Amino acid sequence: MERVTKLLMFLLSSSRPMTRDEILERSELYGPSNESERKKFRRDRETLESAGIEIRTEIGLGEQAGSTLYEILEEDYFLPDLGLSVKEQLALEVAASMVQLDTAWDEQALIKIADGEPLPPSPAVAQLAPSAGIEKLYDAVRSRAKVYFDYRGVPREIEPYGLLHRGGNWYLHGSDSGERKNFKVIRIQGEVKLGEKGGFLAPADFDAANAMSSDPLLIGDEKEIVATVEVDAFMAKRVARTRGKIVKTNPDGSILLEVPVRNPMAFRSWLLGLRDHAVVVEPKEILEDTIQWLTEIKGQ
Amino acid sequence: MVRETVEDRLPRILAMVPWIVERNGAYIEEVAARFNLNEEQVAAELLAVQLYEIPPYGPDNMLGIIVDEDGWVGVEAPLFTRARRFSPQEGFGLLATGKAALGIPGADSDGALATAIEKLEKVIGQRTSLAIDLNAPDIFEQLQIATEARNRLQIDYYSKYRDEISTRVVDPFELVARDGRWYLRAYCLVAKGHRTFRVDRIDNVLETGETHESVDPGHEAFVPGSDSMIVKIAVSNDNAWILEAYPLESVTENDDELIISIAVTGKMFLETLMLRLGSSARLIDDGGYGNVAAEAASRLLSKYSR
Repeated sequence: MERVTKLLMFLLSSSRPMTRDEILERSELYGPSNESERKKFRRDRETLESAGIEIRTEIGLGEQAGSTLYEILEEDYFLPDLGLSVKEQLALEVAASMVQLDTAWDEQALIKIADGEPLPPSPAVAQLAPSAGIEKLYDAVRSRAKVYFDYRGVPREIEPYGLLHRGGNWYLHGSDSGERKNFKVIRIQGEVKLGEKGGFLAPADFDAANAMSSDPLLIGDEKEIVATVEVDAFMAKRVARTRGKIVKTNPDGSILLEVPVRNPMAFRSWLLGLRDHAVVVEPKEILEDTIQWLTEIKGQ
Repeated sequence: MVRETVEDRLPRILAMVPWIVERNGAYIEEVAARFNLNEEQVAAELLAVQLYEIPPYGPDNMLGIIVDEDGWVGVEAPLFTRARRFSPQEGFGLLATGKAALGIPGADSDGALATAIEKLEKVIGQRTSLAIDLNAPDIFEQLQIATEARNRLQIDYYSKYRDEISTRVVDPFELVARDGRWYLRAYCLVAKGHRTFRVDRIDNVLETGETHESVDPGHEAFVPGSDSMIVKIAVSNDNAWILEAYPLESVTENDDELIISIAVTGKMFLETLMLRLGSSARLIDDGGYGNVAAEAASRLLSKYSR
């Protein structure tokens, strides 16, 4: 611990990049340069990097030709002045008290920028569970590094534009061979690998909030069709509040609702979730599909 | 006790030092509270340092920590006067909580959160590259105000798995967003127990004019009861979506099928699940509910033959 901390101090205080042998000699942390001391330095360097400290390397020129030079830049190590007012710091603390992340990531960040005054309990709390590897994906988004992973059994090379949390799930939005797609993060298989930083440009008008429809029935590749659904009086108000457009209200209180659909499977799941309270009226293909689906279940 | 590695300890000491420097010193108990550690851990961490010096030596090249007998910590650390950059986890966590809170009605009444997030995004990430949609229903704000004021409410509640609407009088404790939905935790005077209500199934919220003194027993009191039955269903791989959609007791693979065990809270829950899974799914252990899928399909088909 002591030697690693001192190595960090030495690299932070150095005004120029140094070769390994210079560091071994000038830092007074290691013995004369030999294989064992060089290994010790490599281990210490790896420890610093594992602790998230970026050590820049470059190949030397002139007298140092062929040697690797090491340096920690202030801009890589220190948090720049965020210019947050006291009110803004407090707003971030209140936000963290209202949103319970499954990890302490937000609390660790807040220690760096806010005072941590006790706050009254909030009447509303959102629980947010980051999917495994989400921070790596966001790092790729912010540094514009391509990501490589398997999805539905197919290796992908994606330009990641943004992350969206909707309906309790995280989605990565990006370009897959020029085609804009959403990837459900929990379905990403295996390890995510990052390419070079600055490897692409995201569209200037990109906004993760608009990357995917908020209606699961409209998340799909198929051409949009409009289904007409009859909903009984018991459920009419509740259903109309969340989806579709009422085109007719019957004297008994039931309604005819027009529902746009791009994902027929999601539509079927929604319709069957309404059970005895709703039937699809048209178009013919959805009506026939529903009847066939139910007939096959009945025949089991 | 698990022995911590240097990789675990180093970020912590590098976070503590500038925090103490910024305050011109702090008591160990203050450091412990802020870093969520116990006082012994903090003392051990700080006392381990005492004095580190590096060439060319002198006051600009040292890290000195003194803990006095009253537990006051003084730090000399010219190289660590500012906090470290956010790690990818910290940056993501801070932006995610901020953006999620922006989606809670009333969370940013004076606009300070939105401007704080703008400033953070300039440093951490790219604007508009992270979005969190908590989808608060229209009725949310009314419930939120009543919850904060401890107002007793009368609500109409649709129970999907009994398929009925009941009128309840409730003492609201907290609104909770989980898995993309908002829930109201409350004491129900009708059921005489603590209940969790899905907010999008609440209608006709009325103030009773009374306030309540009910004590929130915490989340543990709202864990679903043991009145659910475990059923076993064989589903085809086409229906693997069920693995993500519901909490399952167990999943095993059997040739081309998945055998899942799932807790069901009633016949209607099971009916709806089987209707959605379709004819390729079959109940292996129906938990005593019988062939609910065929019965439900037959009933729904009758609506199409009119």
